[in-house]
Amino acid sequence: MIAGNVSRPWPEAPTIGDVILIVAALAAAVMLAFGGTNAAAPQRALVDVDGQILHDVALDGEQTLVVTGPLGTSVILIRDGQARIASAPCSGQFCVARGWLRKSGDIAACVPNRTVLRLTGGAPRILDGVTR
Amino acid sequence: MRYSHRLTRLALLTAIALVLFLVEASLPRPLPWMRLGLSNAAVLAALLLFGAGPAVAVSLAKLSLGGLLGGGLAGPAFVIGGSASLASVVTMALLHRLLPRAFSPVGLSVAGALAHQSTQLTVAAIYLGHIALFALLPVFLISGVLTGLLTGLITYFALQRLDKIDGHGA
Repeated sequence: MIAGNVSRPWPEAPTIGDVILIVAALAAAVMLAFGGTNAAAPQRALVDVDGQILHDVALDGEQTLVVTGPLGTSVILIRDGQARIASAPCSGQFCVARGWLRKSGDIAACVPNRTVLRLTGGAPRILDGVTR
Repeated sequence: MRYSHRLTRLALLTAIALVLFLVEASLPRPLPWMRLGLSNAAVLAALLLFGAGPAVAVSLAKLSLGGLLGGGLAGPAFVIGGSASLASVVTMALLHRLLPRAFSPVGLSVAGALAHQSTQLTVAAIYLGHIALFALLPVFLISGVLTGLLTGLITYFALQRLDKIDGHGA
C-alpha cells in the first residue's frame, strides 16, 4: 500500500479539537497560577517563630530581619513589596528555595527552625494572643 | 488481520513501551515525578492500531514489567505512576471511541498526558494527605501539554513510517 493513500479511522492533521484542548489546558494553568482570590497587593509581612508573631512589618520598606529559632538564626529580607527567607540553619533549605513571596497569602515555612514567613493584605495585625 | 500477526505486533509494542519506560527512568530528571512519558507513544499506537483493550493491556504489561525490572514494584511511586498511566490510557481510549473524529494522535496524546498529570497529583495528594500539592497543578498542566505534544508527534511519525514498511497495520 502506498504511503499517503492510506485512509485511517482517525484524523491525520491537527484538528480543531486538538487546538481547543491545548488552549483550554494552558488557559486553565495560567488562571490557576495567576488568578484566585489574592489579587490584592500584599501589605505586610508576618514572621512567626514557634507560633508567636515576632515581626509584623510593612512591605514597602527595605529591611533585614534576623530571628532566632531552635536551630539558630534565620534571615528574612523585605524589599520592593516582596519578602523572602534569605538564609536558614535547616538542612532542607526548602524555605530559602521558596524564593520571593509576592502575593497576599504566600507562605515560606521552615519547620526545623519553627519559622514561618507570610504575606497578608490589609491593616497591621499584631495579635495579643495566638490560638492553635 | 491474522491472530498471530496481531499478537506479534502487540508484543513488539509492549517491548517498545517497556524499553522507553526503563530508559526514561534512568535518565536524570529535574524533579522525581517529571518524565517525558515516551512510552505512552507505544500505548497510543496500540490504541490506534488495535483498539482500547490492547492499549490497556500494553500499558498494564509495561507497568508491571517495568516495576519488576526497574524496581519499586508496589512502592508509593509505583502506585502513583501506575494509576496515572491507567487514567491516561483510559482517557485516550474514551476520547477515541466517543469522539473518533475530534482529535488527531497529537490531541489524544495531550489529553492522555493531562489525565496522567492530574491523576498523579491527586493520588500523590491523597498519599501524603497534603492538599497543598495542588498548588503545583499549573506546572503539571503545562508540562503535560508539552510532553503530550512530543509523544503525540512521535506516534504520528512512527505510524507514518509503519505505512511505508508494510501498509497500514496490515
